[in-house]
Amino acid sequence: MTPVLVFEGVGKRYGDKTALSGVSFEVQAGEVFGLLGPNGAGKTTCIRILMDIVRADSGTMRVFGAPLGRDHDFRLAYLPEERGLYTKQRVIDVMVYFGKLKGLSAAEARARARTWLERIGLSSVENHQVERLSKGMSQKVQIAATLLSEPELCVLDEPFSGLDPVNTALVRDLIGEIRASGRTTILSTHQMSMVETLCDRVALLSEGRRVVYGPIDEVRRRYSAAELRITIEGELPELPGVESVTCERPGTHRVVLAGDTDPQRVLASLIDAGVPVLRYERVLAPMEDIFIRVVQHGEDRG
Amino acid sequence: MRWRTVRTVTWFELTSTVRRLGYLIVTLGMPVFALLYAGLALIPAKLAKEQESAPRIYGVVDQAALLGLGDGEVIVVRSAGFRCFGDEARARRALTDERAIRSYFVVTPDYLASGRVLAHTGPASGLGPWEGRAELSELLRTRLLGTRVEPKVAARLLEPIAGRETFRVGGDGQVEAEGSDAFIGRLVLPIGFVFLLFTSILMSGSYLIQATATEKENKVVEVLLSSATADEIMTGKLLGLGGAGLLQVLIWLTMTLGVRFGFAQLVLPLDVQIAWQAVAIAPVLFITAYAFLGSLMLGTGSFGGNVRESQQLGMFWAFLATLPLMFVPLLLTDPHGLVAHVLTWIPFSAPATLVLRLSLDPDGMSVWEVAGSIAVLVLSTWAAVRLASRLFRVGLLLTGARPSLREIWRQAKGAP
Repeated sequence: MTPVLVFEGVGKRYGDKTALSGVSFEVQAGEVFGLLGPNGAGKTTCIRILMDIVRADSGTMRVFGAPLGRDHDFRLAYLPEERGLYTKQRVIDVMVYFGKLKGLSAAEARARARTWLERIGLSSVENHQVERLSKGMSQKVQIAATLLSEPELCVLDEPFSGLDPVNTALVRDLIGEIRASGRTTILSTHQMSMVETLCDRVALLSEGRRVVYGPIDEVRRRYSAAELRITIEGELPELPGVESVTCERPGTHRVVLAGDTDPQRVLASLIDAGVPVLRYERVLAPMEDIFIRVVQHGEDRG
Repeated sequence: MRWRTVRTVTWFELTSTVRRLGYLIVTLGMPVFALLYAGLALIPAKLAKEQESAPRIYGVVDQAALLGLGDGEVIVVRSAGFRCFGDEARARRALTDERAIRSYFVVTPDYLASGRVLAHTGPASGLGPWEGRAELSELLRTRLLGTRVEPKVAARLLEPIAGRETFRVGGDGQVEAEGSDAFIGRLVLPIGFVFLLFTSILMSGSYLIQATATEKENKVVEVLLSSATADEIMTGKLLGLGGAGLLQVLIWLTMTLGVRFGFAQLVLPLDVQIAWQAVAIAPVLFITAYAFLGSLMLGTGSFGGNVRESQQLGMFWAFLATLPLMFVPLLLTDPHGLVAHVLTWIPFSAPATLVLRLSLDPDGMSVWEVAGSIAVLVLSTWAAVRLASRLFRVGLLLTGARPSLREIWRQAKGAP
């Protein structure tokens, strides 16, 4: 299947500062792709190049299998990190305007805006001026305005910032719905728990370079020690090829494997010993750890 | 450029501006304010007119015995009455005690040789000792001539050009009669054109810059640029906010003409003869000039960090647009001279100069000069819009410290 987006050796400089240096990655159709990195890593520049707001100095980019063109405007949508709405305008008017800019007719944009406002629980503020909304409400209106046109590729830059847990869950569910409908999302966020929950694949940028890239489970495995979490009934017997065992709580143990011990061998040993195994899982490094290890300590595992 | 997107931006900018309370107050309040101001200004004028209906009385002591008036006799010349006094003491009493006269003049005995007249003021002397001088001079001239030359000759000496008729000889040699105010009438179009152009540019330019600065402050810019090109946004803004500015000016003009106040009263009684060539070309020039100056204002204005800074940057172009006004006296005296030719080819001055020259003497300009000047203006407008849209994009995305001119140029060149 043709990737929705291909970045190949993309570079960009602002004056003396290198924002991107030979960045390459692909985004597949229907996935949630995490574009990660610390502040100033080049994420926003990548997005701006994708949205044709700035032009790359080098490299190539293909969107929906073709070089970027104005036709793509209606197939893409962008929620920038630095958000804003027309504060003196009515909520519905702003949403209709953004919808029309994405190629919808006025009537269609208005109908969709009303549906979305209902969906995010803000029907009552339809005719309010934007400046009367709280920060969280404005945030939700902006997300709704971004998704109004049902874009094929949706770029969300920090969509959870400023949201309470209820609204965070709402936005998380919306992203899930986009994936379920077969559309693609590029998610840029510093909330690594959300990356683990939502993203299929990730690219981690640091100082304008891609330092980590791949399916999220694979990335986490790559940066994980050989560790198991085992929940059993009764006592944990002596296991072969195990370096250490830590009891997290009664019945649940964290097992660090020695050298190249095969985790399946540990499971087989437990079954052979007649221990009822309630839960058996590979412990993966949290994305937050990986982020810190890569960005702060320069750890590189390919 | 996608015109549907341009239309969307245009409509949004137009409707959101004209619905703004500030716009409505200025649009509808300005004529009301002007009417009130004019009403207040008319009160003293009306009072002065009422006073003028009764002649102002001055005293005259005719020591040269030229006027042939008896003691106490009054003669009226236009709006002034002259009361004759046999001696100065009586005139002085009339001035100070009785306050019957505003001032008095003494025509000295040696007047014929010296021309000496002494003016005396008192407590109610109005505008000074020589108020009424023109009427007294006319009285003296009449008396001097009356006995020495024929009445007809005297009348011609007093008013050598009493009957005026004006004719205009066209390029084809045909002679046509025209009113004596026709020259002023021919200036109505260029003056109106320049007034409309500058007012629209100033009003719309202010809205353009304000809207752009607000978008920067509200951080809506990236959403816009991800949906439309800088060209489309800028063109939409120029049309929408230009429309709002023009609508405002048209409302003012309509209200002004509607009440026949000011401009209408000044213009309508005149013999207004407007060259059709100037009329035909004015709308094209107006739109092109607006696009030319508006885009430059928007392009440079977008580099401001806030509304005030943006206005300072953008308004520079509005002042350049006033260039032809400095040359108006020269253009009036020599509409086809070197200065006029040069100004015709400079995009900043071309619109007003062309309209002025075509209004004053449509036959004096060759078709090639008109067409060439318009072509230069259109090309300059195209280049200005292209350049401004790139600057506009760089300016819109600008945050923090302003980059150097070289860096701005580099980014503008590399902009999508």
